[in-house]
Parts: sequence; C-alpha cells; structure tokens
Amino acid sequence: MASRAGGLYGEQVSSSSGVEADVLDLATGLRDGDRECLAEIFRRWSPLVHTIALRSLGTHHEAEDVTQMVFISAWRSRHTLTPTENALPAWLVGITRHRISDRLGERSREARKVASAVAMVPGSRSGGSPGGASAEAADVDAAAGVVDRLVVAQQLEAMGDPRGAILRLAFHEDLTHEQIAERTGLPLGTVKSHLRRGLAQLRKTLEEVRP
Amino acid sequence: MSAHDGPPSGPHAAEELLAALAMGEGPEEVDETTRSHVAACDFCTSEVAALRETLALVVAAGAETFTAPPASVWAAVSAGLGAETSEPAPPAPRVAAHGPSGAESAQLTDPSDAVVTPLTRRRAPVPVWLAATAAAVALAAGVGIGTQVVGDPEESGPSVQVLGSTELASLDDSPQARGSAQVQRRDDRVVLRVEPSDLDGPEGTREVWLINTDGSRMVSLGLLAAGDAGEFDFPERLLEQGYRIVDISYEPDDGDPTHSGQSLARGTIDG
Ligand SMILES: [Zn+2]
Repeated sequence: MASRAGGLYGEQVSSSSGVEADVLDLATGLRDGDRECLAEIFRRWSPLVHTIALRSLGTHHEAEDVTQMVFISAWRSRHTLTPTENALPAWLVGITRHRISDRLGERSREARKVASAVAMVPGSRSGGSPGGASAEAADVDAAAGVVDRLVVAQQLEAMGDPRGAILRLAFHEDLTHEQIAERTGLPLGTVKSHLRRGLAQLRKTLEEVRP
Repeated sequence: MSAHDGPPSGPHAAEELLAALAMGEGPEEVDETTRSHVAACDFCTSEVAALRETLALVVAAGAETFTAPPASVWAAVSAGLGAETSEPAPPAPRVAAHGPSGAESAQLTDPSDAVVTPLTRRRAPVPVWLAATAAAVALAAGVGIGTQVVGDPEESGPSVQVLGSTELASLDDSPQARGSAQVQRRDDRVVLRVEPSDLDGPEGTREVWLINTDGSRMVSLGLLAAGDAGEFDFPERLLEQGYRIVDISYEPDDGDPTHSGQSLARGTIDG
C-alpha cells in the first residue's frame, strides 16, 4: 500500500495507514476458507452490520437475526469475494442491504395482508393501510442515508492515526488546521494533506459501498 | 485522474486540490488556474460535489455510535457454521407455523419478549410471534387440533368471571351466526373461549386470531379443531391494548404463518 500510494502522490504523507493492507489479508483469508479470518471480520464489522440493521429495522431482535444471517451468508458466499483493499466492507454492506430489504419486503406483505384482512370487518376503519407501501419506501430511503453515515463513521474509526485523529479533530471537534497542527505537533502542510487525502479516501469507500 | 497543474482546458485538477475546494479553502490553497479549470470542467465540478457530499457525511458521522451485537450472535454464527456439512444448513431454526413442533420451538425464544409482538416480527427466524403466544402455542402443542375444551366452563368453579364477549358472524353481505367468544377470568387465569358453530369453509386448519382495533396489528392465538370449541390463554392486557376483534380463519397447509385472508367468522369483544 505505502509504495503504491507514494508512487501516486510522490509526497511525504503516505496515503494510507496500512489498515487496508490488513483488510486485504482478511479478505483473502476469508475467501480461502480461514475461519479465524471470519471471526476477526465479525469482530471488526459486526457493530457496523448490526447498527445498520438496527437503524433500518428498529428492533433488536430483527437486527440480531440479520447480523447473524449476514455473517453466515458471508461465509457461505466467500468465493464471490474478490479481495481488494476496499472490497470487504462494501461486500459486507451489500449483503446487509439485501437481508434488510428482504425483511422490509416481508413487512410490507404482512402489512398488506393485515390491511386486507381488516378491511373485511364490517364497519371497521378499512381505508387506511397502516404501515403500507409508502411508509416502507420511506424506510428504505432513510436507510440509505443511515448506511452512508454509518459506513463513514466506521471507516473513520478504523482509519489509523494520525490521519483518523486529524479528521476527527477537524470535522467533529471543529478545530482549525492551525490548532490541529499545534495539538498533534505535525506541520500545517501535513495536517492539510491528511485532511484532503482522508476525505478523498472516505469518498472512495463510500462509492464502493453504494449499490 | 492525473495530478498536474494546467490551463483550464488541460488535465483535470489533482484530487487533493479538489478536496481542498470541497472543504472551501481559499486562493492561498487553490490557485486561480485550478479554480477556472474546475469551473469550466464538468468532471471536476462533479468530483468537488461528490467530495462535498462526503464531507457532509463525515461531519454527520460524528454523531453516530455503534451498537455491537450481543455475544449470542457470534455464538449463533459459529453454531451455524459448525453444523455445516456438505449440505448447507439453514442459518437459523425456522419453524413451521402450524407444525406440531411449534411448542418446542417456542422455547427457543426470549421470554423477555413482549406478549404482543408487532406483526413485523412474526417472521423472524427465531419465531418471536410464537413466543408472543407461547402459552397458546403450548396449548396447541399436541396437535393441529389446538385446545380442546376438557370440561364445561360452567363446571369450572364459582370463580368464572366474564370480562367481555362477542357473537361471531360470517363476513359476507348477509352475515350468518357463527358462534361466540368470551374472555373469562378463572382464578388467576384469563382465557379466550371460542365456541364456533357452522363455520363452513374448506377442510383444513382453523386458526384463531386477535386483530387490534387499530387495524395494524394482529396476533395468532392458536389453532382450533374444526367445529370444536377451544380455549386460549389470553393475557388481559391484550384487551386494554385494543386486541378486541376475534377472527377465525381458514389456513391452507402452505407453510405460510401469516393470516390467509380467508376469515370464516369474526366478532368484536365488548366490555
Ligand atoms: Zn477537470
């Protein structure tokens, strides 16, 4: 990673923290059937998968089901993973989206069934279809924004220092570049470079993750 | 994308400069040549827009926290893989809705789950909705025959108190009487006693449901042997929560645990 990045940018700030190379190893191990790799992948990404599911579905029970299914699916379909430095999170999030949308689809069908069963009650309020199709569509839209935010948050957490720390100081704690330089003891130019590259790096991750 | 400075018509702006623009940095960081290229270049303009969007997400991401799944999830994943043979096993125990194994499966569920389960959860791999009606399922266990009434309720002692009741009727244009249902308190127990009559409908399973008057939730109480009365444990708070519509459906043997949409009788509990 470092040499590729150095070649691309030809500068003193390495493009990545080495985290991706590690991720690449995990992806390769998973594809090759190493259960230890699955365990490590679970350790690192199950909070992301579980939180996406929780935010999209709203119940702990369903979120846990989905998380369980995602990692079992990941194991079973490991041969479909092409290990690259960014592929693994995107691949996991893709599986997560599928599981969530299956679940939302079941909800919609169920809601329609109740609505039609209830509609047969003489004199009942039969007009509304509670939790109907439009509500589900809104759920799905909202879920898309949630996934983006969570993926970025997870990537920020996983990003090695100093880059991760610099990004958090700038964007979550609103420190100026000068304050960050002072706080970290790094040259101002280095701070700026980390911010720009960090932003570009996150944007690439996001693009991979989007369906 | 190449990383050279150039005239507006030349190569695209370097990624770092695009990021600097997205962060709103001034002319001391991004020179005028680059700015005019970007302004004239659709590609660079859209790159800056995408980076701005990422920036907004980075800022918003600061408020996000993660909830790790409980340890039971990894245990379930492990177990799922451990059971794996050349034939992949299903990811989680799935339960046939009307199978005789329902009662055992109900034990898998978390007793802390509420008695009333939203419909949306009924198809979870671990069948919460069965837990929701665990008591009823346990009654239904022996069969598909549900809950045969053993004794006559009038004989069950002086402590029977009727909390509410309804006549049942068919749902067609000229409703036929189809029996009755009563919520009864007997000592510490509250039951829904369903006494259907002339249900008609196809041969097959009869299932008793409670539909909430809000029209958006229902729970299955269990199965009913055709033509027979049945009793189902009935958590009293269901009434307070609006589960007042008793519904008897015909359920084809299709493995689908949801209401078939074919109601044979219905009535709303008064009181
Ligand atoms: Zn350009």
